[in-house]
Amino acid sequence: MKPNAGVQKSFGSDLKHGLHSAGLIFKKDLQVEFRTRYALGSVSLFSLTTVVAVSGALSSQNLHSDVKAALLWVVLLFAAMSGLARVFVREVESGTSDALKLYAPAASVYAGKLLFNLALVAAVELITVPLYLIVLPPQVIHPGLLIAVLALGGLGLSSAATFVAALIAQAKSGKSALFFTVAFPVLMPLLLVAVKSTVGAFDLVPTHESQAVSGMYVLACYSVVTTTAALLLFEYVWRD
Amino acid sequence: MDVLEADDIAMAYGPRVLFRNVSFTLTPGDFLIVTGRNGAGKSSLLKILAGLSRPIAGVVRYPSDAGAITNANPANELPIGYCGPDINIYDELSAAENLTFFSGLRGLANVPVRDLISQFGLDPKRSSEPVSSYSTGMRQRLKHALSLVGSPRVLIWDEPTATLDSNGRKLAEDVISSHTSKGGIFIVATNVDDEAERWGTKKLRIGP
Repeated sequence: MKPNAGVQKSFGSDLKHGLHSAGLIFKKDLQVEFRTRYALGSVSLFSLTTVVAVSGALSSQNLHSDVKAALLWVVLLFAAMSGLARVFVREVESGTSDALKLYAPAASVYAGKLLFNLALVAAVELITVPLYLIVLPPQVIHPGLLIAVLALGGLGLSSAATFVAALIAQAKSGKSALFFTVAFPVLMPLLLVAVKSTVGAFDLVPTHESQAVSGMYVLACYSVVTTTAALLLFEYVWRD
Repeated sequence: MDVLEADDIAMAYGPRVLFRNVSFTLTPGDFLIVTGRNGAGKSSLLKILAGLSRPIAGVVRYPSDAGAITNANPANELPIGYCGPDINIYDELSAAENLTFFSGLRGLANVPVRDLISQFGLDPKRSSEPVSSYSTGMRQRLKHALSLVGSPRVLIWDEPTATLDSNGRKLAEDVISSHTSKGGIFIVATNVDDEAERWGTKKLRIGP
């Protein structure tokens, strides 16, 4: 019994330390972001300009709910992507990534960066979605369903994009282009399911609503799989 | 045993071999000076010792009866402090915030950051200013202070005095002599002939 108890205690203290470190990295990234406003500034500007451009071009059109759902996720995806890649690129370009490698467990670095990207995606959604719903109002809104789709879609988007950001940060040049190229096939299944689920939150068709509910299971599974895989593989990406 | 052991390590970038068959053993109180011309691989060797890089051959063990220091078992698991030109601190954070952040990552609470800042001759009144307002020498002093967080038994400094004034060099020498006199292991890479002559109980020249 005693050796097992010892292992459990060690695992418990490691987990506690890992979570504490992840929290510190998240807090540090927030501090740096609030002082530079680099990511928040670029994603806010992108969100506002794309929503205004889309509404200016299409507000007079009678768009179907599937077109509105697709447009919403296109705006969310590209607005978020303009900030998500920065989490690791900034560390590498400023030369602070080696200091993080020395002081923090790899899994904590991924978890801390994931938390920051989650906060960024949440901020993008808070800015974009209400504005989008005002300028291009759907036929109907199921608030609970919409919030659930946005939360699960945002989680999957953050998790996959954080891992891809870590991968491309090691590249010598062309990081932005590489980020979109690598992220595109990884995020495409998520985007397709998120759009289909959002359609169910935007109209009164019962089959769409049931599709949305089953789509949320897929989104949840996508998030669990990408986060677990990223936590297991991140060590190999992070250490050269 | 509290011994650092490098066993037959080699490093190369592509076809260019920097060094091979580098072996040494350091015991408590030892001070190793690593010298060599520019590009010989001094910094690469020190990064391998800290667990930041992986050698193409050989192993580093610390303590010598433990597993190898590898990229999967870096210094964050070990009592090793490292300071090198390629390690940077966060410009947007203050000196105190940087030290508190990194000590927190090592699981240390209530580290006397102001004492560390004062020990390296930095003005405690400026400890809440962003590091971006610091000069190169002040940043170097802060990085030295950072390497001491958690009182590591092994300290590795790469070109520690390159950007320091005479007062800074004196403070660095004080830290080195204090650390080794307390039984710590110190490893320094330098290009300064005077330091290479005066410092070190052991010397290692990399390359021709």
